[in-house]
Amino acid sequence: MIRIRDTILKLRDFAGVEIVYGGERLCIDILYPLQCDYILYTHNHPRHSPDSILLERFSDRIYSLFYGNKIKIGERIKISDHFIVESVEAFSWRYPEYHSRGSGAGFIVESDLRIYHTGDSDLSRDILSSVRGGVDVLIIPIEGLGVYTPEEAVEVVRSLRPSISIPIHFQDIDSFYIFRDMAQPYTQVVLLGRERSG
Amino acid sequence: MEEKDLDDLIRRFHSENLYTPPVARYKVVDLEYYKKIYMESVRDPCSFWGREAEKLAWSRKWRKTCEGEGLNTRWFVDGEINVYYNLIEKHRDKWVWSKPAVIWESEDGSVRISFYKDLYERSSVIARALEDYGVRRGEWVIMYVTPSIESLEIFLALMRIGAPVEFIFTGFGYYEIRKRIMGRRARHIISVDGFTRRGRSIDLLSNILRSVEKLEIKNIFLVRRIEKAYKDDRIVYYEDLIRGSKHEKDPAILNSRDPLIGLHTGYVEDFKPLTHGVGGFLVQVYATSKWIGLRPHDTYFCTVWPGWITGISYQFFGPLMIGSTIVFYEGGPDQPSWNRWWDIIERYSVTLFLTTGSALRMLRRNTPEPLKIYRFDTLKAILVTAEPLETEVWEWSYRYVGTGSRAFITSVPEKFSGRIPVVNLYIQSEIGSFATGSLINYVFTELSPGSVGPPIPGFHIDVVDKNGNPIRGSPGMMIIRSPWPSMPIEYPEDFSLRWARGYYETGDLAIMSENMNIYPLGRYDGVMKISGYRISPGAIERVLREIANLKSFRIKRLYDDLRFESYVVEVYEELGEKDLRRIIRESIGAIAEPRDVIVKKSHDDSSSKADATAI
Repeated sequence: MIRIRDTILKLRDFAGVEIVYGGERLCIDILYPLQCDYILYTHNHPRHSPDSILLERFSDRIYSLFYGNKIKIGERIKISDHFIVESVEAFSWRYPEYHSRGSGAGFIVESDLRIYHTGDSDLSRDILSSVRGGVDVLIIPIEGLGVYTPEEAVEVVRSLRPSISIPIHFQDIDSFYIFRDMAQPYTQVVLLGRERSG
Repeated sequence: MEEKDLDDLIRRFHSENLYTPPVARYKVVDLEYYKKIYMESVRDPCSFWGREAEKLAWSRKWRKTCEGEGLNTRWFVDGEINVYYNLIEKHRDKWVWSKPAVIWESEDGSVRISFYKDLYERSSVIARALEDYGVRRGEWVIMYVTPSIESLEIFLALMRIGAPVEFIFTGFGYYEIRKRIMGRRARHIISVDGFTRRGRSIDLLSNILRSVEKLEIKNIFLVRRIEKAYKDDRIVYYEDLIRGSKHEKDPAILNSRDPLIGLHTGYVEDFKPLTHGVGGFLVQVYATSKWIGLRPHDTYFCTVWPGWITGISYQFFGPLMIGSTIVFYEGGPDQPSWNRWWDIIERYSVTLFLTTGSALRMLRRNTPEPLKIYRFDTLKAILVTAEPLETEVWEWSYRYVGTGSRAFITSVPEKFSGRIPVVNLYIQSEIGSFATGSLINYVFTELSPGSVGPPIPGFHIDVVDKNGNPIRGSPGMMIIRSPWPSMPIEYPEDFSLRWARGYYETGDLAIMSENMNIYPLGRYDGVMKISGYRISPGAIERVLREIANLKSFRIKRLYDDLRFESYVVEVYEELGEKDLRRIIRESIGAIAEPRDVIVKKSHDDSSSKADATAI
């Protein structure tokens, strides 16, 4: 858990984050979102979103491309007095069979910070150019099929120059070390522990 | 000191071996080049430091860089400077503004991050509130704090107002706090109610409340950590300081000779006050912070807390002036295990790690094997300070902490062959900044284990015999021949007496080699160096006599293989060990507790007054 200004961030599950601000809880890619006031899902894969029963149960609180309150790519919505959410593209051009264009999203969440959760993506100029404005906190996958490699994640850091970068979506600690050692001069890399939701 | 003891010290702390760490291979300068730079600097220190002073932003340039001689030298005469601007406001409109200034972690694992712009905003609001509560420019304020974002914000607010700060280490007890409050005639205190250390809740507010009994204290500005309830009308909580709006008044512009920071340092008789002035202190700390390796891109973890000169200069001033990210850890190094500091270095990608010799000795004892589960590849140097460092502790740090996991030029990770510099640096409260050391970002000379490196340019340091003649290769007195910019502007007589021979005697015994490396061996003046802290034997004597009411006792100073020095108290059944320890702990602080207390049965009736021996 980390507190930056008045925003609290917690990593949950494999690639999820819980953002607490102004007494409200916004969750991205959390599998058991009982405590969450607003729930964002980047795409419909097992480690990122729950089964259909849970989706159904929390549907009024969910914002995604595929379920609940639908949010389109490029759309920016105020979902409460404390959170504004913008959806940006997330896809893999190398492994479209995993993350095809249009099937997933990244989210820029504005509290008293601008937090960019990239979703599952690999390096694309289209994606980088769609992120406008400064990023305080970057939450980025660094390992897996159809997502950034550690080196590609460093390219995102070098392009966006976020103040803080938190790597997610990895099991091999070597991926973290590669990312950390290359990215650190351009951002502040922070390794956060993960907790399970529910 | 007996010859046998001295030989033992030399064996532990002196080595003629030289190392060029692989990452510094293309940085290292040869001795002749170093000497050229160094000799130029000490031939004309005024011009040298004048050039360094130009790198700060002055509101009015000084009329003369220095005037007067020796003890009476004045620096940057009639210069005026905005401290707050040089600490933080100068970063506005630069990339530093939106980067993390502080990463704070508590023992229970809570983490907070504050950006440079946040520190600026908060400190502006707090400055206004403090003025509303009566804090005034030029009026001393006491800071008895842990390293935290809140204490840094309040410190910056005080710098904005122009109020000088007396720092007190949180290891000191009520008696020492009271002396400092009274000595500075302070009416305002900044403190933390407590913090968690080694799983225990340390109550700091009780010390403060006990220290201010019957004193005219206006406000105790308090950061809440342990949430203990107190009733005292003088307490103003941090939350009340951040409620208002930003300060509209411009930050204070101070004269170069105005007081900036104060601290009490250990002399033989007692802890006594020193005051550093604005201009000289900022110039020295800014210059040396750059030279030791700090850059805006660095993430810097300093384990020395504010309250000691290293913590003040290199935790609160230096990194802010540079624009680096500072890691504050508020807790014990062994919680939940001795790996805590290593975890911090890994988690926050620390690039520069500053700690003390005592800390490294403790870490070595508790994690003696290579730290194979860690990868310290972001580290570019390990800086060590505060006390003599055994050659074997240096070797352990260089090999086991400093190798990293990736080969670099000639480093061999599997063999723990060493990769980054372990730089030992000499500092003293009276000097205000590091004064010796191999400088990563200036003149980097080969490293010699046990050595604090050669003198830093601008500090004319020598090792001499009793007659003031330079000696090389054998122990002598470490002196400074010329004044330095951050000479204290207020000092006790002890300090002026050390200038009696026309040069400044540091009180440290050291060997200086032909290649100018200096190997400190400890104090020769009777002051003790315990875990890097200068502890006054006189202060202990006074407590034993005045508070414990002991008539007869002896204090014996010892070499300690963990704390560098410690001492033993002999008492004669007037007081049990438990009570004696408690009295020292509550009055002076836990840092001054004796290693052993020997309670003797026979009472020496011939001694009706204190018989304290400081060796």
